[in-house]
Amino acid sequence: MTESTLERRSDSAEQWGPLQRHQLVLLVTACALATAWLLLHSVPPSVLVIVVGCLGASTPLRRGETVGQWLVIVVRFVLRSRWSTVTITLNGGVLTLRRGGTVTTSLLTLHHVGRLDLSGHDAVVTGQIRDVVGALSATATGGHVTQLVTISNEGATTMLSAPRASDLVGWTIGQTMPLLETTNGQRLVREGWRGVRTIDGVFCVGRVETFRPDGEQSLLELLQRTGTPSMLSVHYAVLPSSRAPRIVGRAVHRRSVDETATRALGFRRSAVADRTLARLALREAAVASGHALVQVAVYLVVRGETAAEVRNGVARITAMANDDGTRVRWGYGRQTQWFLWSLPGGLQW
Amino acid sequence: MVKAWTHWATSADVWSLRLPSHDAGTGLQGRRLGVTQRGRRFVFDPFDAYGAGQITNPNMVIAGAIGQGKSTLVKMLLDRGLQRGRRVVVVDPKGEYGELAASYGTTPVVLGRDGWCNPFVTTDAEHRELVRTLLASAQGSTLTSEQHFALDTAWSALPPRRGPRLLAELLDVVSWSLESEAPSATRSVALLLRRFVDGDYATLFDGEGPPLSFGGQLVILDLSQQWSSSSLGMAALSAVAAAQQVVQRAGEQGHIIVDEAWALLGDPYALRWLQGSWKLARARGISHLLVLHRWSDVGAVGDEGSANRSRAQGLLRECETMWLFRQVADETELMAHALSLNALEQRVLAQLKRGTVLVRYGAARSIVRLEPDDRDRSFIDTDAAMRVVRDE
Repeated sequence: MTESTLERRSDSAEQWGPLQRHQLVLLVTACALATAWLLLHSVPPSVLVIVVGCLGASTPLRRGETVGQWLVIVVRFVLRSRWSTVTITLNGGVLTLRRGGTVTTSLLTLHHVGRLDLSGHDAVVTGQIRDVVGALSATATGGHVTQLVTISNEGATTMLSAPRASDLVGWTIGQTMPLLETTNGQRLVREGWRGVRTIDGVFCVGRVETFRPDGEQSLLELLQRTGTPSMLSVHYAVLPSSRAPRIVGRAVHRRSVDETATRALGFRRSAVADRTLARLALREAAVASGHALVQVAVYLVVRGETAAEVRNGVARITAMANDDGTRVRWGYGRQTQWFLWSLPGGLQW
Repeated sequence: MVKAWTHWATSADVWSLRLPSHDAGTGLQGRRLGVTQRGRRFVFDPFDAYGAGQITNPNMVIAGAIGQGKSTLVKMLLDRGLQRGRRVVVVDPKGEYGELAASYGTTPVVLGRDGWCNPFVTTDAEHRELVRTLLASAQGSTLTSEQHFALDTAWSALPPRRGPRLLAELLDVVSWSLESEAPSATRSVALLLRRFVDGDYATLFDGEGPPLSFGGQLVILDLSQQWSSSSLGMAALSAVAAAQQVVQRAGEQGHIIVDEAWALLGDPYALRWLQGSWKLARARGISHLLVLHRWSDVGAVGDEGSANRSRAQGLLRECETMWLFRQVADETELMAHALSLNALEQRVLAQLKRGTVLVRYGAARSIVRLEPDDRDRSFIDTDAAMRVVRDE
């Protein structure tokens, strides 16, 4: 992964050094209030409760979130409705999903005999996806490409959703919606803390937050060998090439400014910062040379007949992922949202 | 606010994020043989695969070291064929198929003890070709023009209504030449024929009493009496020729399984004859299945670059369906050379575990872990004797 422009750790969460942005805000607030209480006699002692609250809320939990984030998730989970409905229309390979918004995408199924490539590299499929991503980046609006591998007891199916991809060799028109096995109609989704339930079964959704530090093998290969009925979906939100250089340039600039400020404060530049800057430079060079800029997410949906079955699958995958150096975060308390994100086209992205 | 995406990347990173596609299997219907690595159930039937356009001929080769699962696979394949109502003939030089025969209510036919094979039940031209093959094979060299002439002359002197003992009748026609000691083509043909009627190959293609009648859906020709003798190749040829008649007579699709196929491949004349019948497999609806234990056995059929070796390798390469089990290291190289395996296939082959097979069928490849079901387990116990020894 050293030559990849892909960062190991998630870069969607804004961080300053080891701290997330909200942690920094909470800590600064706590320090400011504590200082005020020490220096100003007019500040009541009850401020100390707020200080303790801020410090407590900024404390990280083992699974990566802070106490504050966890509380927000709990409150939102308690307040919102457990039920939601997804409307599905699949006609001639064109899939439309509706739930608070609408996603329309082409759905294709990979049709082949045996293994495409004994090595598992599957350069043909990878090349096709890269071509689709490249073609979308040349449009004014970009688009969303999803590769979905559904693993069931009967075997596996590879599908691809993209706004325009109907002429790919080896792919046929998708006949069934993955996970929600229907072509037309509504699916009622009931949310629980650890998963969602539909008429098709119980699901628990997680996503890969940290990739393992090895780019020679596929980063996700191990997750396909879970032996647990599941769906792995890799989402590429493609940005138009007209915007990509500006976005990458801004990221490089912001990181450089941060580093300058850090050095000005007397801190040494860390190895992590060095690596991040190197990756940003690589990314900038890749975009300049014509590669498409994408936002990536890898969702993993474990499926079962019962909640216990799903829990076992989750435990097994978590253990395997940990051994592999990949970190999967299960979106407890926001399963409906993550479930919708994992669907073809990334509903409500 | 948690975002739906987690990472920034470029299209250059699609390679890192690739999801190795699953093994889709054959897509055929039926009882499965096993499961593919990272994929689905694996079902294979040579006739169905031919019908689906996945292969262009129904012949198959199974190769691998001892104990890797070859016998299991053969028995699973033929049981599935039998369940589809096909006729199956097994040429079994080691007497390994007794349990399978028992499960189908039949008993193996021991060539030489229970009777002889009569492969001469088709057309006159085919009979003549087979007789030429037999004589050349017994002689160890191609028939001369004089011998061809002598044989043709003898053939034309045969009565129009022939009995089943064609070779004995031919010998009767040319037996006068044995009275003279002077060498002649007719005498040499007579001497060769005598070997089949009264000599070392007696009871293979000719014998006292009626020939073996192969009734039933499953016929197992036990050649264990010839296993360690020099007549094994000839016995195998006799058995395969008879097997082809059996399967063809049914007018339906059928399987001929030749275990220890090197015995057949080692004889240049038998090999040439097999090559001819191999090509007619599609027309006759016969799927030949050759089982090879050591790839060096194929190498032993002739010197490097010899016509016989090239012919043997060509015959095997023409098989579009190959079931390759793990071989010992030096054998893997020979197999790779003979079958033009690419570097990746060689690497996979060297890493296969017991009971796992690399299947090449047409343009497709699968790595299959064999999974015998309850029915299969009742007749695949090939190492029972080893366990008895251990238990003791």
